[in-house]
Amino acid sequence: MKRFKMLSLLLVAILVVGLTAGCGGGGQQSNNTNTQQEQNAQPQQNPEPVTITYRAGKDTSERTQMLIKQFEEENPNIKVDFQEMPWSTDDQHNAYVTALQAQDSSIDVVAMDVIWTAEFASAGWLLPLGDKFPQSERDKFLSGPLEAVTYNGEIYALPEYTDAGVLYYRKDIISTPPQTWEELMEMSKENIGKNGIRYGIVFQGNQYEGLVCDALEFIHGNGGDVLDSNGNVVLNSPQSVEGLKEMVSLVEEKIAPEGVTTYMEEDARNVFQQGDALFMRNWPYAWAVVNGDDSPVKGKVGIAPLPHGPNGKAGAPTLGGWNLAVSKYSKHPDEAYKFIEFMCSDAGQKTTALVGGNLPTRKAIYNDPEVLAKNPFYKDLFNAFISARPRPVSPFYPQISDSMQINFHKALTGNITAEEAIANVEKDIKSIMGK
Amino acid sequence: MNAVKRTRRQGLSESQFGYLMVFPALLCIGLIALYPVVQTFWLSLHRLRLQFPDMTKFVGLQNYITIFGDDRFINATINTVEFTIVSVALELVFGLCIAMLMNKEYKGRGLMRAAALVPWAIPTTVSAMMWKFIYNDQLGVLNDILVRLHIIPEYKAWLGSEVTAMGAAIVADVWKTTPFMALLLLAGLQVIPRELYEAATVDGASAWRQFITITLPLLRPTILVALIFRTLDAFRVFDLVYVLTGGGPGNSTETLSVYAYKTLFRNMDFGMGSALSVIIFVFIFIISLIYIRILSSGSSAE
Repeated sequence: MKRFKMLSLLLVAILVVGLTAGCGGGGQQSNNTNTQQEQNAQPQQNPEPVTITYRAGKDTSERTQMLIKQFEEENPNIKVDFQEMPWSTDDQHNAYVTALQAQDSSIDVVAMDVIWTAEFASAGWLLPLGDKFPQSERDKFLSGPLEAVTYNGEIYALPEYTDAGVLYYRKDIISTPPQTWEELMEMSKENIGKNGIRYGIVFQGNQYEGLVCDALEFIHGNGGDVLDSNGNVVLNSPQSVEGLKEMVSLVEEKIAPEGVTTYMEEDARNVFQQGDALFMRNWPYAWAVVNGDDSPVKGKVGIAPLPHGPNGKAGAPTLGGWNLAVSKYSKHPDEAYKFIEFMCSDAGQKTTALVGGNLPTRKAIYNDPEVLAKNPFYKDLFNAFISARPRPVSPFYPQISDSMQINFHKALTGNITAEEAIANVEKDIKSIMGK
Repeated sequence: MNAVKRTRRQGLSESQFGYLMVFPALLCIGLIALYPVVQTFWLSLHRLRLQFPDMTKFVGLQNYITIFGDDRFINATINTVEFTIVSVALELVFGLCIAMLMNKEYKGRGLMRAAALVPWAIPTTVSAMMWKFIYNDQLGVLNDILVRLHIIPEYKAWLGSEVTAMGAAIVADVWKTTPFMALLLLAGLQVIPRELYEAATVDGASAWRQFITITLPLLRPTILVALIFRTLDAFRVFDLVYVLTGGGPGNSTETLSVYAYKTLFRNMDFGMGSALSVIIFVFIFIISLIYIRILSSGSSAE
């Protein structure tokens, strides 16, 4: 027995020693490689190529790949590792939060939705860029997107492209696009069942951020608002309720497909591109795709400002767009900035507009003949784009959005009335902002 | 010196020695399992919002008080319980049927056993995506089948209405995890002595009677173990629901785990999110205790 115990103790000892020895060995080894690297680095004149990681949402065009290739050719010492993320902006947000709250250095360039600036900057995850981005440069950008990268007077990102909701319509069926949602409903009812048209309109009705963008367009477009200029919550107004009701009636009266309550941008685009829908609310990116060579509706699509409600004067597109920031935990902040500077340069913005169909943030691109030839609507819709309405700016925006997503979706699926939805959201926002 | 050494060696009793032997393993478990749990509990006692890391402060049980008065939490709990009970009950019934089929001697049994495992082998996220396509309102194969059979007049958005979304999620879960249930039950069936059935047949007992008096009682411990696994899994359901509906429509499929995840990573509210996680942990702990109680009382009665 005693002997057995001794033997066991010995085994344990061997195991422990083995473990520590293993660790020591590992350390030594890595030390060795370090010195080796140093030795290797000394005689070389050119610095070792640096790889920066760029994370962004799914790109349906070739734009990102082209821009990265161009950048790498111009900067042979920097390699860009592009990591594509899911389509849903909420999923991207959560992936960033997971990594950045753990101070993960594996992301250098963060592609941010306009609504995250306050939140991420406030959390201290972004490198302030103000001193690298002089006023003379800032003046060349549109003011809306520039405001969206500013938090407490500091710049935290460069505007990569801006976005605004637009109305796509089948110009082979309709000659003049509708001015109001009511007209849109009339036109839809007239045309459903003809020319392969099965639905009046498709939009983003899933319970996610896109629903907030779409619903706010109905509310803003009818004279409603979430916050007034002093930051008071003024959502619960007859105009807001009426606006949301118009959106709900699109589903109730079967002008939109029943499944629209599960649609994101790409679901809506697929239905529209198959020629099943007369109208589509989407972002400008879809222009390039629905006019692609394999699109059944190529050349049959017109693009117009969004309609407005009975109490509104003009359609009120929601300001979207994406910005590029440098993570505070990046090990290569200079290279990362160089990359975002390139993406937001004149050349980068031109490719963005030509290949991606996304709205540039630099004013000059809107006068570029090549860009206008490809995207003729830039000129006509320019005023609509620059008047796009931002969503409430707050470090607690995700929570505000969450309440809107849940309640608007309940209204859309007929679970509660538009009045109840608006009242619930107002109550929630007041309690969130009061915190 | 010598004396000290000797007493020490003598002091190392059998059980102490045992602890020494398992110490490395315990240390591992402590670091990997216990530390995060304790850390989460500690965080749950704070107001901690990542947007304002400087404003973190200790608030005691405030987060828990807020949660228990929160309609969304109650809604998520009801959804979770509904999902757990219905899906686990269906899985048990189907799993038992499949297990008994697989336990019979017939040609191609090996192939059948392997094939039955396929849904279980597919990662949940992938099978959730697959079901999302099956339920799709424009191209979904489910709509196609049901319309062709004249069961429904037109395509439906299964995940888009509160009436059907939870059912759709449960069906997807049952499809995926029934094989797991079947496999566990099959293992239990195989240890039931064949002679019992032979004797019962000689005595003229019907198949149903054999099932009630032989199979079920002898399978009881296995069924309970399988139920523990599945109940705990179903109660924590996250990936399936998150991919399929994201909690919609109108939060009608939001489970506790999805709510906790959104609070943590979407709202960046680590205090509240941690409190929610702790509550899930406590719920699961209670469920486990109940099952273990049933299991031990059953075995002592025999």
